[in-house]
Amino acid sequence: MAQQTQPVESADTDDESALGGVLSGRHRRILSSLARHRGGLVGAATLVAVVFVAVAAPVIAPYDPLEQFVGPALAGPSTAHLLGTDMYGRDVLSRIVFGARNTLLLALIAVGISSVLGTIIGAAAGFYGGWIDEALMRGMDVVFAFPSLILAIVMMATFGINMYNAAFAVAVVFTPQFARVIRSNALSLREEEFIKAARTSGGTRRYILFKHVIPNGISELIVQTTINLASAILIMSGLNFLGLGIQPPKPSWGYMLANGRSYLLQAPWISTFPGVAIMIVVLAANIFGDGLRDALDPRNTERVR
Amino acid sequence: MGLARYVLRRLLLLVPVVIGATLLIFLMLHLAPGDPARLILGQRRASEETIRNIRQIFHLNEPLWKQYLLWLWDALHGDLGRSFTFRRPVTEMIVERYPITLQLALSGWLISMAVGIPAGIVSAVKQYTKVDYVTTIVALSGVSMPVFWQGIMLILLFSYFLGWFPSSGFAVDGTVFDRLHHLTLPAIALGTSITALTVRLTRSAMLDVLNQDYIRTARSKGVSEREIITGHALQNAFLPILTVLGMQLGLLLAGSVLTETVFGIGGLGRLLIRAVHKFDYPTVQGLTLVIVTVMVFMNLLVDVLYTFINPKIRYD
Repeated sequence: MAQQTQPVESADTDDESALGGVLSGRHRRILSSLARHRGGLVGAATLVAVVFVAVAAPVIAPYDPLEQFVGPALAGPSTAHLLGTDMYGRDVLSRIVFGARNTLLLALIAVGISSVLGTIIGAAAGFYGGWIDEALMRGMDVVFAFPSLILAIVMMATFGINMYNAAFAVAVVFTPQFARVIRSNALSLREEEFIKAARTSGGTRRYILFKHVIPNGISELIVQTTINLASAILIMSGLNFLGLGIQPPKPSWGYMLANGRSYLLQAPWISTFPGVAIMIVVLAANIFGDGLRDALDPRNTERVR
Repeated sequence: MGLARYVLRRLLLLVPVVIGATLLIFLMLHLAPGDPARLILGQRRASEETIRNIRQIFHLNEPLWKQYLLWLWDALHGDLGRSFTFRRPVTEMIVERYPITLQLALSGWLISMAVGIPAGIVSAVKQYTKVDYVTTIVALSGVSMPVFWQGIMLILLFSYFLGWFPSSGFAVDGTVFDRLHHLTLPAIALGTSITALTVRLTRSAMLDVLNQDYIRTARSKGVSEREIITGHALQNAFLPILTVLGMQLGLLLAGSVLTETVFGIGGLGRLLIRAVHKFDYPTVQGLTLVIVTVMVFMNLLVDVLYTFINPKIRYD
């Protein structure tokens, strides 16, 4: 975060500062432009807060999320139970806090796997070209032909219903999107002077791929990751809602919401609050992603020199 | 290159995708852990003889490539196998239920267009005004709202508190009014979930056009603002909007699965979920095959329409 507050003028001048090539002038410009994007900042702050809640869940949650009858069943919000209790007298707030942990962790695993897979596939396709490109990208087209949630659902039937398979299914669903973004980046890099230079100076193709092509797609990768994180949380929650993801009694927002449906009239809070939680996180990731995209778009970046 | 040749080329490009997708769906059964014959039978106990029969009927004794071709051949002839969980032919169940999902998806789509396109246009024309900000925020919230939660909230408000609409079911045999009465809440839930996307993309498509030089020229010539928007901008923004509407098909189908579950509607989506929970492979495979086929051909249709409206890209 420290880079965001640095004076903008210095951003362009010292390209190879203490942070080396990782934070080049362009990246600093992006960070400073992001710092001026109010929505992006609000999104980022919310995400940081949610991650904090997820990590510190055992400290923050007032009750054990699994313990039954910590209060009366189906009790409305009160000072003892801020968001009420569910049909087994479990504290809804504590379950939401722990649900953040499970949902975020799985969504992050999913997006992490798909970004690594997609980056390798996309970079290889764009860099090598020819039949490797054709084969890899047609494979991605096949995955893309399925509506994402439906592909994830169908994969659960094949591999069995549990939370890790759900994360894997979501990872597969998002891989083509990463692959496409990284491929087009790799394609444009192929003609760059520094790649040609690396070639003529005897760098092997694999070395160039991992040392130059992939690191140069990092900013595209980051934007795609935030945007996909929002969708991954939605799909993950959808799977949980359908009973195909995180299995009870482990708390998950989607399943809590589904479970509360039978008590909608007596205890609407059971279904309402987990939905609010999903919306806040997804909204934050979306706004942050928008901010990042604006910051990365050269047309929108004000070049302050 | 004429339109016919373009369509032909697009069709040829689809071949590897279709082969890949069908192969993937076919392999589902064989990638799953366990004996395919027992998997097809689901949770039912079976004698050795039944298993042998199943192997015969589903060609499981043949080599894998032959099984795939036979399965595809049967599917092309409308035979998607038999569900042992539901004790019915898969095709029959799909034929029976698809009108329900179609009605739901279509009405959701109509709602999204009726609300989303005008909102997107207004938001673009009034860029950086209060109207624009409010629309953008509402749209962004809409994108972020899970469709199943929205459905539950609609039920809570309009069925339980106000009592205006039924909370579940679908009056398949009812009167038109009856059916609309049941369809309203699910269609709104499904529609709103994609309206947000329509708004955002219409807005950006309109903004792209409104910033072009020829719009500036038209303005400086004194063409009225109304004429500029309806006569120039909207016509050119229509293409990107069309592509988006095509893309939304996948979202609509996925959204139907969740919406049908929330509202207890017996369409294709609910069938899929029940089949997955029971590991009923023939049903899951059949449904997925139908869904992917619809997706692939609708995308082709959108592509062709796109070229038809805009002849410039035909040569790409």
